[in-house]
Amino acid sequence: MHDDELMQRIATGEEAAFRLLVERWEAPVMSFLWRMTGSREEAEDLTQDTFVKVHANASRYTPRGRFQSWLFRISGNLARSWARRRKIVGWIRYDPELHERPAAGPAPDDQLAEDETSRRVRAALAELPERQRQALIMRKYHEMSQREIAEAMGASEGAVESLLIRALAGLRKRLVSETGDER
Amino acid sequence: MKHVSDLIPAYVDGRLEAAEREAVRAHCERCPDCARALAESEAVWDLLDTVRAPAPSRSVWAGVAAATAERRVPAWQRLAYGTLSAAALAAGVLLGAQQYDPDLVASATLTDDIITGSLLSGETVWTLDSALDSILALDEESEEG
Repeated sequence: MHDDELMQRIATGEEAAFRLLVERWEAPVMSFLWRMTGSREEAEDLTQDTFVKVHANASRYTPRGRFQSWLFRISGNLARSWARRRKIVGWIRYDPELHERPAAGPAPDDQLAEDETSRRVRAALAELPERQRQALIMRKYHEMSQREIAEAMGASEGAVESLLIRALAGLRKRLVSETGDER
Repeated sequence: MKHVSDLIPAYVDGRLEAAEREAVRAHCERCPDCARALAESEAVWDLLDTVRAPAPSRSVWAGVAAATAERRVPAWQRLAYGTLSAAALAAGVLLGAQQYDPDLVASATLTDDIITGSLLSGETVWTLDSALDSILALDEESEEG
């Protein structure tokens, strides 16, 4: 069943449709939020929040065959809100170290078994400015088109292109300069 | 045409048309700087594959179902609620049509949202976040470089 049809059924209160939609999209949403936040626990909480919002706004959804963009817009906004709250808490505490830390750097609670290369790449990703990281993650890991990313981020396609250019340049600077040459 | 260096991200992630790809390749054959940038970008793009997301440690559906349970009202209750609402609306139209107050109606709708769980705490946070946007805009701009 198509996502748009599921959304219409969810709007009428059909629980089975909602469950099907959650199970279809939970893994992509979870992986997107994990890469955005660097924390599995936060990603799981935000994944749940995403679907609660999907449910709450089902009747406002316009079926245009662009569900993924709509869904990732909700997830992206939640991830940005989370990063902002984290930053604000840092300011309130007057903790210069926390203030300077990238808003969505890997959280200490995440003790995944990962090799050194993966750790370095993940750290470099976390150091990118938030919108650059968001655009790159959507393109690289979710294979969203430039137009879909633009819709999900509420930006123009030109702005997305610019974000992708700067994101890749930023990663090159961080990763290649560490070893001299990754080739 | 854009400068080749601006086309490299689109090249490595496969967004360029065949003719543009060929143009980038041809340029890189005679430009060592762009050739190096392309090779490094391709390497970085491939390195991103090493970052694999973990599987959820708990059932997403269970949490979502619990969080939205209050909103999912059984069909017979929706029908009864709808009937009562229609009756109340009809009575209101008959009895209070001359005392229509938009603010009062808006307030009643908001109260109804709170009672039925339509107004989620997250939406309140969302509103606060919007206000914080202006405070943090300068900080984000400086991040973007």
